[in-house]
Amino acid sequence: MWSTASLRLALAFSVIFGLGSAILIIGVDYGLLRFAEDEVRHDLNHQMEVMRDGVARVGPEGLIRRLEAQRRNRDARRYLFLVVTPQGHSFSNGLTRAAVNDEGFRQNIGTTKRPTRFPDQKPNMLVLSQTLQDGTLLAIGRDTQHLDELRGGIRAFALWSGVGIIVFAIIAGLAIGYVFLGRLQMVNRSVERIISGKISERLPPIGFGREFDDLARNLNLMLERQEATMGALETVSEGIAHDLRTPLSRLRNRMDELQAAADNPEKRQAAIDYAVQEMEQISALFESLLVLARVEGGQTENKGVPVDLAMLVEEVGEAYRPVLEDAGGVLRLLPAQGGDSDSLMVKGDASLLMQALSNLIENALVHAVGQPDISVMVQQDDGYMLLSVADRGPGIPAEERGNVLRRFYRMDRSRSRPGSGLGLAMCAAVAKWHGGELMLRDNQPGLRVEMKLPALRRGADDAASASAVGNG
Amino acid sequence: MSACGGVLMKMLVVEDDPQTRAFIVQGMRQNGYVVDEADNGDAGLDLALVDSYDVLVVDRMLPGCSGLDLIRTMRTQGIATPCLILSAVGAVENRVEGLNVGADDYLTKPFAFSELLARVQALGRRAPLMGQPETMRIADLEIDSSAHRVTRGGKVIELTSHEFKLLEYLAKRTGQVVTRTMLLEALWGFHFDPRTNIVDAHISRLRAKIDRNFDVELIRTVRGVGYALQAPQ
Repeated sequence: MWSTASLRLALAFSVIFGLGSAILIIGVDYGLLRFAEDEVRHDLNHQMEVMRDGVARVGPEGLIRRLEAQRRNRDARRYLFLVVTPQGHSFSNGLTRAAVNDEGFRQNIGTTKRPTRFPDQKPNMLVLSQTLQDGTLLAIGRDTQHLDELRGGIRAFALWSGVGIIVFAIIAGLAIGYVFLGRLQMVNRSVERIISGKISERLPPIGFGREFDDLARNLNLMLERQEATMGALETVSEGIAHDLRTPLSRLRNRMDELQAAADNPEKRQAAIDYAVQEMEQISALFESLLVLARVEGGQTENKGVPVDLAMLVEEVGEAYRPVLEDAGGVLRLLPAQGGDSDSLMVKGDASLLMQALSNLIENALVHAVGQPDISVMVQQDDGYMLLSVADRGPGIPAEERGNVLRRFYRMDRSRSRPGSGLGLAMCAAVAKWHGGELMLRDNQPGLRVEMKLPALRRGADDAASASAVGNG
Repeated sequence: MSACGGVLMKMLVVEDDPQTRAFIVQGMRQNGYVVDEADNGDAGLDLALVDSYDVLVVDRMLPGCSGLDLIRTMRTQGIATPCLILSAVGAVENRVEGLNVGADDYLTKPFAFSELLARVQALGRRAPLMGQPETMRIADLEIDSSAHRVTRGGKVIELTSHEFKLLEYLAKRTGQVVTRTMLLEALWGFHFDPRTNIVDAHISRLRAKIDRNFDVELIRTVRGVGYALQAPQ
């Protein structure tokens, strides 16, 4: 709890509160004193008026007599008077000529003796004086001790309330900091656990407002994405470990053969050829793994180039036609059932789709029994394009269909055939990447693999369609 | 031995892995190339800017400036020397990125030396390709590109459009070895390695029409590498 962040938060609070209350108190202090001072001036002005009035009625000498008479009057003792007649007579009850201007207000500090409650303090006094036309000087002063007391009171109040506010702010800051930072600490612990390998952990909500919870939620989404990517990578590494060892060990065997056959040129050549073949297989496997990892990890973004599926089928199909015909088989390419090929467009990556289609055709070829009979077809289906490859081979039993989409999974009967076990997994990943799916169906007999891909929406940019296929 | 029709070809190899570099340099020298080498991007760029080469082989990831930067800088300096990028990353977008900075070809590691040699030879010959005549003649084989007409010994041979494209590609590189990968990339747009031997099947079809029933075979198989269309010596 006494972490620096918590303390800093509290200090920041107290500085803000302290400044705020200081400004408030300075304002109050100024306003109140002004008001009190104005009141004193007003009072002096009033008394001056009464004195002028007296002079007007009874003359200066008369005024002096009256003041003499009032010397013992309790009320009058609040004021100090000085009256000097033109003849030089004067009255004073403590106010000296030195403390008095000829005209106007004067603030005297510690200059007069005074009848106050605090004899030990030097009095402050505000004096108003006026010289009448006949030369009579009138002066009246009033103790402003109460103003000083007021000022002192406000200062003391300001000081103590300031201290109180700061103490309160520090306590409040620490308390809020304790709760808030405690939540952050929970999140932090959570992150630490994730770092140390518990990748399924998710962050708790931070609270204190939508923004903080949004932050936690987004971080969690990021973690989920991360976990999926890591999962994909993990499967890949397992696959590599598992499936690269086989060709590597075969390569190793070839090298041993090569060593043994050093003096038999024919055998040597054969061993070299095999070794190169194994190498190429390893490279190809590696390449497929990388493509798969990229597609599944979502690192390659679907930038959405329009791809003409009819053209794709034509190009890839024609590439394979001689291979099939050499095997005595038949290849049927069936673009568009009744539709113009213009509308057989999807948004995606031509190169990935080409590779997927090529995988599907090769799968059908590899698993053909006798003469291969392969149909490649594109159809429209309610906002989707169905790119399908059907064969008349043995097919895949319904209960195996989920498995064959997994990486490196190979049915027992396929183990002796060429292939990496990645073909269908890759096609499924490519379909998913395009926002579609891969479906395995019974072709009665044979297997029918359908890639369901979202169709390119009309009005979307399809100008580049023709160039999307081909010279990738 | 000479690289290209008796003219000495001068090439620069920029590759940081000493074994790969030595392997390429030695192989190229054996094939008659005059080879300079650099083990980092900056040294490679200096050489490429100062000296004039017929062809460059540049690794993509290099210490100093990267292979892509090297080619980009060279191109902005107006040097049009054909460049081949060697790279361990072979995804289509990496390839496109490479070609976009001005590289002419892209080869993914691991590669066979024969593949590299065939591509380098193709690059070295690229310039004169432009001025090739409409009608190409290899021994008694005549290919008219504009009319899509092929005759051998005066006899018209009917080819499908795919077969014609294949023959034309080989004819433009007469006497030169063309690898299966080059054909897959150029004619079918396959930037991956199909398991079945597509190219061989197409070549055997073409052979059946071009070479069968004639005494002299013009399409020669280069063992473990590819094919070459060539008049007999």
